[in-house]
Amino acid sequence: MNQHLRRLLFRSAILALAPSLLAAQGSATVRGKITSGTGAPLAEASVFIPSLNLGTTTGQSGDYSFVVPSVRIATGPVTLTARRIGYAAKSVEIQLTPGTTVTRDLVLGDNPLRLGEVVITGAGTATEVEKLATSINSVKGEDIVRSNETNIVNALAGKAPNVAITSQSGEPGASAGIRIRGLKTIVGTGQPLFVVDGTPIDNSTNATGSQLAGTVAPNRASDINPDDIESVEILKGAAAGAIYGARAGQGVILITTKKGAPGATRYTLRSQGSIDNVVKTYPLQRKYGQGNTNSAGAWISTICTTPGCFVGSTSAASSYGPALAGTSYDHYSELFETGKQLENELSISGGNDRTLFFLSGSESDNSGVIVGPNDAFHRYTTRVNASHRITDGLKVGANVSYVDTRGNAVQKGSNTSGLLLGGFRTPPDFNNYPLLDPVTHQQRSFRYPNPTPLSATTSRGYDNPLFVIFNQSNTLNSNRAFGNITADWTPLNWLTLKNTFGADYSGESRLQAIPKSSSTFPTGQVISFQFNNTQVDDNLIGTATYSLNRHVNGTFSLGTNFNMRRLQQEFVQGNTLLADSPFKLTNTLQFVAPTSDAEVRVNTNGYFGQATFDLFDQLYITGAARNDGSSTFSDNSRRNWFPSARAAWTFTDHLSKLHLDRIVSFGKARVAYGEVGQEPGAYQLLSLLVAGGSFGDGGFGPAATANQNGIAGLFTSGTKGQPFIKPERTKETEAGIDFGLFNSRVDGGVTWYQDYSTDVIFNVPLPPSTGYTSQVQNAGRIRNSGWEATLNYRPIQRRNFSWEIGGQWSTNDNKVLSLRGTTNVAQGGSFAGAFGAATVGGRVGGLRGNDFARCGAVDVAPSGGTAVLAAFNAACAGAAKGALYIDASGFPVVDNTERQIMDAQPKYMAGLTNRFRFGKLQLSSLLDFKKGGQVWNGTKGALYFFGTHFDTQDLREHSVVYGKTYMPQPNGVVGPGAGTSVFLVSQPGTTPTFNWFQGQGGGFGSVSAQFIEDGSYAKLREISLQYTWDAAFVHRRLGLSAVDIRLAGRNLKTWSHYTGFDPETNLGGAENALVGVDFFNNPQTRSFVLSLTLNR
Amino acid sequence: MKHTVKMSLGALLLASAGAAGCNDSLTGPGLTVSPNSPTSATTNQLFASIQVSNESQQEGGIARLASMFTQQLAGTGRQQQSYAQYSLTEADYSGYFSRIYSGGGLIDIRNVEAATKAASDSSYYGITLVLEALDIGMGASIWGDIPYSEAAGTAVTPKLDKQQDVYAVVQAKLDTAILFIGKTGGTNIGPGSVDLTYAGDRTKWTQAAYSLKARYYMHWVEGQLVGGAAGAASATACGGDCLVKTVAAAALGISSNANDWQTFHSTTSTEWNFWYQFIVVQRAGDLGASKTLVDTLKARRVANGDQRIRAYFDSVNVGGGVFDFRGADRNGSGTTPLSVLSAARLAQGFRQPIVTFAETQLLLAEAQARLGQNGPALVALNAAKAAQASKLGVAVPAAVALTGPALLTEIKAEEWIASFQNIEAYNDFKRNCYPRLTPALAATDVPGRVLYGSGERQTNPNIPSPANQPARNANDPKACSDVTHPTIVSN
Repeated sequence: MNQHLRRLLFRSAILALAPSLLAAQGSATVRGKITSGTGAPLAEASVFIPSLNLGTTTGQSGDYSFVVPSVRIATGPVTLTARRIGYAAKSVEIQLTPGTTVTRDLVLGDNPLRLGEVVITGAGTATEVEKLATSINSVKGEDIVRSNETNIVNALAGKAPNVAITSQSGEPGASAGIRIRGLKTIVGTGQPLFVVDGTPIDNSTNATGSQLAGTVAPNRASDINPDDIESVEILKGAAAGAIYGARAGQGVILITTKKGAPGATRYTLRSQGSIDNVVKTYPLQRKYGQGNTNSAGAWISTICTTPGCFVGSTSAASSYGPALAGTSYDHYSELFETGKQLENELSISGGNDRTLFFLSGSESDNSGVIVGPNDAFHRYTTRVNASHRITDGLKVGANVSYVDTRGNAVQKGSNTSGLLLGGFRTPPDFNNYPLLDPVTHQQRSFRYPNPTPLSATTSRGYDNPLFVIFNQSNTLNSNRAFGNITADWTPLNWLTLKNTFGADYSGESRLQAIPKSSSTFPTGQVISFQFNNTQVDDNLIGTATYSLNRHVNGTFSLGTNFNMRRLQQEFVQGNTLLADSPFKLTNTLQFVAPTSDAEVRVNTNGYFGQATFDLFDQLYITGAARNDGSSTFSDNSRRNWFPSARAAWTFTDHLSKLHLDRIVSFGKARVAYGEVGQEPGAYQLLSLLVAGGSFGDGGFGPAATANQNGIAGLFTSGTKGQPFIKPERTKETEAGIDFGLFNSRVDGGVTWYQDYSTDVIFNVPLPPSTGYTSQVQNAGRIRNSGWEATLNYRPIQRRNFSWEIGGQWSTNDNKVLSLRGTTNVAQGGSFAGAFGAATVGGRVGGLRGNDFARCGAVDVAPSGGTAVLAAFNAACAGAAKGALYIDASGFPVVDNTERQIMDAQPKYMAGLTNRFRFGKLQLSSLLDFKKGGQVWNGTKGALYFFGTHFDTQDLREHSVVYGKTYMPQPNGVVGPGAGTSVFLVSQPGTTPTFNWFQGQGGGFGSVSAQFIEDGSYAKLREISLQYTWDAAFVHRRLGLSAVDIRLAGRNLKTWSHYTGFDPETNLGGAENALVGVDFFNNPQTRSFVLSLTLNR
Repeated sequence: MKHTVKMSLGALLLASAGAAGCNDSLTGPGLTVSPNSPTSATTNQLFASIQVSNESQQEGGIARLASMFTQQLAGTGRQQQSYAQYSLTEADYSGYFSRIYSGGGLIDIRNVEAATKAASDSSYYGITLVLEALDIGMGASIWGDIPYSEAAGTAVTPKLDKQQDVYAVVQAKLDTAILFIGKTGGTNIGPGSVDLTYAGDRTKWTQAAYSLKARYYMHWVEGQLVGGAAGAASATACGGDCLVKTVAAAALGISSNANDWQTFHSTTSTEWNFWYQFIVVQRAGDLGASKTLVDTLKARRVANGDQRIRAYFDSVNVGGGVFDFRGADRNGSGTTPLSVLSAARLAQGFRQPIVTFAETQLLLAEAQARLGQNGPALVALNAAKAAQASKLGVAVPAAVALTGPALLTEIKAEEWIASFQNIEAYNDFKRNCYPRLTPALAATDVPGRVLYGSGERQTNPNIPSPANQPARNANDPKACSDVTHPTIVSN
């Protein structure tokens, strides 16, 4: 490493000399220093002569220097401009003379509101901050890097109001989902459109098989190297996104990558190491051993001593045996270790007046917190971003990235061969080591402790978690290339044309293999997945500027877009391994269904136009419209319009007339309206037949393919064809104000929005007795409305000490207004007893299921029929709404009416950022808050059943009063048994035995509602301490401009009442729109980071 | 040079604008027509699926439920334990209700019927009608009133038909089937080798149709005995005296073990026996032997050497190298280790009996015994026992010198044992209340029916809410705990 670094620096030094060698006689040099109002040097400021397209950026000391070749020196003065984000740009006139040096030091005033800065607004359009009439959140590249996340989506957590990020888990390569201003769709994943440098890219998350099992899978935007990012603009609402028409229904994330700057070539080498661990241990009991309720001596040692013995019934698979006298084992700690991550990133950028370049390469090696080598993810990225100005009016560029990712993962979730399912069900008296039987070398597990030669291909019930970790093979390998070629042409000084031709390709292959004797498939299984995803996009826009008079000017833009996407997925399953290894399809007995080779092609084309009117330097009006056609729309609505209009009024001048400008230094009011769409899925026009399908058995696994005995079987798809389908449409109105106070020491903004999503597409359930179970229809109506606020305060701004504090807060109220007669629509990614759905009058993405009978609930149907209903009604007369009915036995009764039992949506979200600078030392932190938003703790429900959860240790020993001392009820309890003291688990010596947790009190009973928990949290999302070392020694001896040393933490502390690992979790990750599903999810992690950056 | 560059760039821009400017690129194969799914199927391809759908229905969750409700098997873990304790929500059996109608169910049965009719293949048409009768008859036996006359047609929300009306139509379909299956020559080709049950054998299909007729007549005997409104419903369903009709149909039913209707399975993993998949592959430990049946079979082995316990279950090491059969109690708890299905019945390729010679003989025996024809009833009973012995390869001694109530009781017992793992176990139990089961937990009765699937109930306003659904079906008016239940009186 050291030698490597030295060699690199040596080469860098040689390259750095090159531009100065070019400074031949006759040229002019421009140099100086850029400082802020407090006198602090400003690094990364851009200093240039606009008329010559020539300039550079300042180093850490604020110094700059660049050379103007003699041939470019004209007579007369030229304008020199200095700009930096967060400061007011300044321009001065200078006179260039061949062979001389002009020295100009410039002081830039603070501009925290970024007034005058250009904001990219999509599809080739841009505007300035003060003219912006919609809420667009910008996140700077440095903040992305400072988050220490390798996944760009995770890096956005807590950065902008109403941009909710949920990580699947802390595993390397896990996906992160993003949700902007609430869910507006039912069948989609709710992920926004990602656009990199003007070209849309793929950010899909492809499940490895089931969303409830399999392994984690990356969301494809994680292929972007965070160090390549200059800035991210989040177009949240419909008005902002309307320029992207039918693809902007869930918002748009615009990513701009870094470019070179003219002048000396610059080098950045960042090396970063981090260690990760699990934030929280899982509460497992270690007092009671394997066995039935009170079944004395039913320990593993006595019940399953004979070779080949299988602990057959679940009651003995549970840990309700007698108290342990002997050794117990920690089944949490044996699965986790400290993870490590190493990242190296090198970028080189520079250029001259005509040619600019930015090159980068990065590697990231992440070994996760699950023990063993199979929890790892590696990413290698490269990027070339170069442009050349062929003539003064014509510039061409190319910006291409290639990414290679390789991962190994451990199976998760609802999966008898998943890590925690067997891991946490293992009784404390069973030692998972040795993992393999010393004689037969076969898997040992708690239900099959003594394998025999005959049991090589026998299911273990649940796999030994260490067998899952060490003996399975789950790999993910992808190759990704994406980028574009651009041409900017300014044929006339009022007209520019820009064409962006981009492409995106990713090829991914995954293998998911389980060895013989695995519980999920005892004879061994290999599944191969291939995903090929391509996208080609061409965007052409022409923009003309006009100026009618001093008070009226603006732009007209016209553009066209053509987009082709193709996704090909192949899925081949090989059952029954021949030899024990290798895990290859050719080493299996049968290739079987489900095998699929689905292909999805979508073509779209669109036209768009935009007109802006800047009136009297204070009123800025924009009107735009896009017309989109898509192959997914039906013939009768092949093309659709998406209009938008917005207006911003900068009333700062009026404030000064009223002498309010001392208090309010800037003010803007804005209002906007827009419509955006969401494409339907492809191929929904015709009723189709299912080929290669199978008939399953109510979710329990047994299935037979329609092809039997070599005879082909086809059957009618349950989905009825829909010849009339159009895009989902979201119409949004937003309004807000942005302000600066006390000479911009305080700034902030408040936005209100309300949107109605109509024609929301979903599979409208049909009565199965019609022969079909559903039909895709434009049938839903959803409303999202909310408030967003940001407030930043800079109480101290001195040369050597500054403090900034910023907060953001948002609410979103999501409501399903109608589902065309249906009361609810199921959404994928959850479980039968607690299934995700959109419910009329409720939310999209809430879980539905059964609860115990409660007073005041609608359509209560207490289990036990009319007699119980009568008793229930009598007890509830005059009782509080929500009071729990307790029958004579002292327990509640199941309410057979299924209802929405969980609201995953937070009441509000907020972020609090603090930044301190003491000279060259910077300290920053980000606190991320979520209030509300429930989580289904399915893990706990299942572990109650199995008796390994810590709660069951206490609860089996004492009697409780249901609803009071156990599962306390805020609305009280009623009924004949209210207040009765009961044992949840029969006490020794009583017969017959009873175990509430193995009936309705556990996760396998009908009542999921009892495991819904509050998912509120506060997280110390980021903390970072950075020192910039730019002493003379660094320049002279190291040949560097500065060295940044940073010590940071990520997710160091979570405050939450959630009893599982972490309320921020989701079994399917970004594979579906649901959040808050926790069923043996692998845990979240925290990181401690040390980073070293060498700049030159 | 500069000029040329501008010209060519301009041309490029115009060309790309032109390419984007039409809708031609938005339609066509692969774009508006799916590259993934066929849009038409042959009759044989649809018929193949109908059979598999039917198998999954006959061997799936309802059969497990029947086995647990009648305490042949015990739900010993997770969901099965809850189900065995009658804790079922409308969502639990939604998929099974849908399967009656959706792809592979009635909609494709109708497609095959239409296609075979159009092709004048009467034999094929008739065989398909038998599949329809099994599909619909099973649905009506479990849920009672079901959508049928308006199902899988143009109705948006098909109405519920009375259980007795559904049975009457099913009987009529079977009559038509019998008439058509026998037709030969010309266009009457039949399904041939695509028929996984009988390879298109007309005689076997005709017998199976008669056996189903006998089964569906017998389903209404309780109603006939109770009389009143239930009797009237029975008369509608049977089109006459149910017992007499049963005797007549059973006499023409399946005539030997060789003609049994069994599911198709093999050692190929896509063709595995559902019970193997459930018990061995998917849900090990959730479904074991029931103490009720184990103890009965053990007692029979002691009493007369009936060895069926060996055919049904595997013994387990109960300690010290002693092997015995162990079943779990009605609540799913009890001793460990526990017996599960025998290796033979859990074989990947084991073909589960659906409609059998033994069942037909027992229907005949029950009807005859109830009609007071003791002699023929005993003959039929022993024919069923002999068929079992031969089929299972274990001793099943004949019953001797039984008459009257004792004979009827033995027939009921034999029905309970012989219908092992079959949905009919539940239908027999509802009618006969044999064995005298103690329901699970503190329930007073084994449920008379399960709720309609939530998928249907939530989309079809003709389906009553769970609270308003009947507890029992028209053909099963009395609960087993009801002392006026005709079976209890005759016991």
